[in-house]
Amino acid sequence: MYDLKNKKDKMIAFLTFAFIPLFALTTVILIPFILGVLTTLTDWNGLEVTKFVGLENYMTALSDPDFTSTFFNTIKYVVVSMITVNVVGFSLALLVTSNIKGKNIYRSIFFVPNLIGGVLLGFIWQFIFSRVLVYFGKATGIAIFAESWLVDPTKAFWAIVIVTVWQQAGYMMLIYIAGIVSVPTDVIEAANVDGATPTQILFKIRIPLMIQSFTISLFMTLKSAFMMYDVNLSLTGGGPYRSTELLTMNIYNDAFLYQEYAPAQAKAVILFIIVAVVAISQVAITKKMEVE
Amino acid sequence: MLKLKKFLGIVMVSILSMGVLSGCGGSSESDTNKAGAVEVTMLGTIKGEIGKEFEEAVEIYNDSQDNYELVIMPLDGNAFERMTALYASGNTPTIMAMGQEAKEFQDKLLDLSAQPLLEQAQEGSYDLVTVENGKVLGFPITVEAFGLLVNNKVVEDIIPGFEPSQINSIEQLEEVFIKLEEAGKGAVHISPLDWSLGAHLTNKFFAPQSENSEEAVALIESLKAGEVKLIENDIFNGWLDTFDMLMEYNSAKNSPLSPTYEDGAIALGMNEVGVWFQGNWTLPMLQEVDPEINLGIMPYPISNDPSQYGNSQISVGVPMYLSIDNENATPEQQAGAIDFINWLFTSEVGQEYYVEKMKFIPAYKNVSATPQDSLSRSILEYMNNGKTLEWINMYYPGDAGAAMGATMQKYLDGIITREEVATEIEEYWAGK
Amino acid sequence: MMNNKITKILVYIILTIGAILTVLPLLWMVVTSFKSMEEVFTVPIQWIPKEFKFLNYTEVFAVMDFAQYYFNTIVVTISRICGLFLTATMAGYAFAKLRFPGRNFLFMLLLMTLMVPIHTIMYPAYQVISELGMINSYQGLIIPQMLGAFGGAFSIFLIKQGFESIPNELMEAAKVDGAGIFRTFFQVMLPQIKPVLASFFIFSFNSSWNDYIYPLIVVNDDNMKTLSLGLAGFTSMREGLTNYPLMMAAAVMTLLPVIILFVAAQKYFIESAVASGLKG
Repeated sequence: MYDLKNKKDKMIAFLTFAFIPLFALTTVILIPFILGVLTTLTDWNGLEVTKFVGLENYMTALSDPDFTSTFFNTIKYVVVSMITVNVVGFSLALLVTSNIKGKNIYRSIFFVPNLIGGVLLGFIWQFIFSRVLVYFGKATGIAIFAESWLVDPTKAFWAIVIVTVWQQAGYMMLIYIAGIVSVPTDVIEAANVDGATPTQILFKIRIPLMIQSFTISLFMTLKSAFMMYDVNLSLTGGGPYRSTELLTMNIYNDAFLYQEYAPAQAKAVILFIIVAVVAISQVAITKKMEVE
Repeated sequence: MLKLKKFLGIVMVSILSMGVLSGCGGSSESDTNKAGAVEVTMLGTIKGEIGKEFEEAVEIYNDSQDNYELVIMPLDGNAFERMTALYASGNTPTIMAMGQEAKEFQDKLLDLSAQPLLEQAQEGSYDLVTVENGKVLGFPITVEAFGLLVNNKVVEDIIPGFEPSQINSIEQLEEVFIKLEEAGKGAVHISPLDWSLGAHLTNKFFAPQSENSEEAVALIESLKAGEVKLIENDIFNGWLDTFDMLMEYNSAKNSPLSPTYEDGAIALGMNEVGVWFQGNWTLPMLQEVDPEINLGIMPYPISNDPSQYGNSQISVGVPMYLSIDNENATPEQQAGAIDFINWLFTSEVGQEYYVEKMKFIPAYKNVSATPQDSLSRSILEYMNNGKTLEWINMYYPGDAGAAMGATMQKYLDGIITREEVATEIEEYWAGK
Repeated sequence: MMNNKITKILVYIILTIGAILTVLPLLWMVVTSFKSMEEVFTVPIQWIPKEFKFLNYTEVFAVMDFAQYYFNTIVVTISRICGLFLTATMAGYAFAKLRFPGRNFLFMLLLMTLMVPIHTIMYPAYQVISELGMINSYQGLIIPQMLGAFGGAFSIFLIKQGFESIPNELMEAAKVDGAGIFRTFFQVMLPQIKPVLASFFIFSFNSSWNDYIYPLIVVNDDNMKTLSLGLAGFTSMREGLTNYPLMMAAAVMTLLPVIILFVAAQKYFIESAVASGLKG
């Protein structure tokens, strides 16, 4: 640590470096968020507050059957997409860092989907699932594609996962590449000389030395899975019969389509607490592994 | 190190240039060309797809007088969201197009009850936005109708002299479907959209409960109180009998949840099917598919008795109103807003745009321009004969469409029974 | 050796299949952008349009002020990244290397802001931004983001991670050489985290270019719209047929500069990552 003489100097140094973003975050996110939390204790309808209602909105939120069902949908989606995105991303990273030609082309191709915004992405894939694949299925007789994936609750769920993987795996791949190449080659060579198998090298040397990449990737996929909204909206719209509706979409609809502002806000606060707990424990756990 | 310095240089330059640019941004804010005119703002253009026509009309209005300058604030995304955000920040537009949500804003809107224009409005067309003490929150914009849309060309080719309004029973409707299928056409297309099934289709068992709309609304209240067994309600059963029949002749029977909204317009517009359960708001879409399309509209029958109330009526209602802000707008701006709205609904040029260019079915009696397309004329005929059902769905809570829509999607998909439909709908309402 | 060759071929096969699956939807997007409206819905699907309608591209500029959106997006993205580069690296450094009571608490708070569902703060944020008089302006689009709000916290997190892996000895050595706190930061420490900076640049460029919800809050003037708002315009015309060809033409044009930039930049990013890896 940089050694400054007294507390005051330390504070000045720290604030010189960190004040601006902290200030910005406070004004544009923290304060609005606190205001947002306060409104959950009132009967706010998006326009005005007439009275203080205590925890009533939280009761309404928790007793809403849609909250429970979308909550479980979300958990399922978070777990499945986090695993698939990272497995695919890490595998791609290993493949494109192996000794092959055209690495850069592959890397670029895999990354490109991440450059497309969510709304558009959903539109493209909706067309593919409901038309292109159906046509393909009928023409080739492959039964699994003969009907649109978006009309079956299970397949529609996987459709969202597939699109998520398609969009995010390339980005995670890049983060993993940075991790893989940062593992010093002499360590790996030494292990090779000692007769370690490729699997051993991967699990005993590479992965432990690049845990940092996992911290970042897992955190990012976790967070974006919990907050997933745009693809959900433009791909399935929550259908068929609300079976793929995720929590963020439920919150949005409650607030802006059904004009149930305060209970929706309460749901959002509950979501926030869950994400915060899960994400911070994830970071804490992987950090611990980094230290070791 | 040199690279880094260079980079920092670029950073500084861009920050500076940004300052300059943002200065430019500020100056281009308004392009008012009239000196002394009061600026009146309006959020959106009522509907996205008539944006061009509406803007043209606004331009003509602005050129036609010197007192007011109407400026349109673009509306992206959800209107309710945008309006509440604008109110939160005090940057409210003067004119807003509102639906059911008008009541949420009632304290913030100008009372229009004394406006002469309302005397011209069709009877009952602003009941929904009339609140305590007779305060009226908005001018009705247009009348919309839904029912079974008919592609007249397809059906007349098979059944010469076909008259949609004469189909008044389940049997008669089935006969039409049989003939269509025999001729190799798809009989009926059902869009499995939650708002269509949840808000519009369900209206067809609420509204026919009684000729007195208060009694139909009363059904909602008894459902909320958990006092109703829908499965014992004749109209509910008749309504599902018809839906069973529609499902039987559904052109997408093999995969009933597959069709998208667009598929419906394409199927009807390309003469692939004869009938589609929808409303006249699909007209621009259908005309895009076939500019010459000839359409009619049939009632959704609920029994085999042609004289039963509901069997010869179509659902007609006002989906949106023009409301005026009373919180931040100055009296001059409010006067300007009223001036523009009067111009649009009563002046010759305004009406031309209102009816002919924007294709609205007028909600006012004094409108001399008449819609030219077959569907609007067909709807007007029902209206003139008093053959209309109220939009009970305007009394639904916001999430009713999605909730009952999900139930109807499951039924359409064949995964729940009639009894389960009844229970799910009862459960939804009991939770309100 | 034989075994090695087979693995290699296998790797190529897997990568190529993966690449094709990745590209197909994009190919559909490009093909559709040249089609006529009728051709979009025809069955069987036409992979090669009968006639390439280049006019779709010019029409995009006619139906909306696409050039203006382009300009806005470029200005906003570049300024944001430049500003964020300064603020986020400095803050990341402070959290990683400068000791200060309450540092961990502040960092926790920072991480928490990432978990805030954006819809919960839309109204209050709108109020704050409008109090500052920044609605409908480049300032509003740029400054909060440039300083680190919305997504900035993630950049700080990323960069802090990077700095933590740099040994303190480097700082000590710089201090011994008589470097001040700023020189130590800019000349000694910052160049050490190039690979993380690569991730930072790609992340912030991309999130700024595609940012949808934030501009939706700040902008309600056509002249200030960004590309993502423009694109969404094609879908918000709910009651008409979605004009897929125009939408896809607009999408291709939105995407093209990003892809070009990425392909050009990624080589440098990866190389710098490799270089620093060797050093470490």
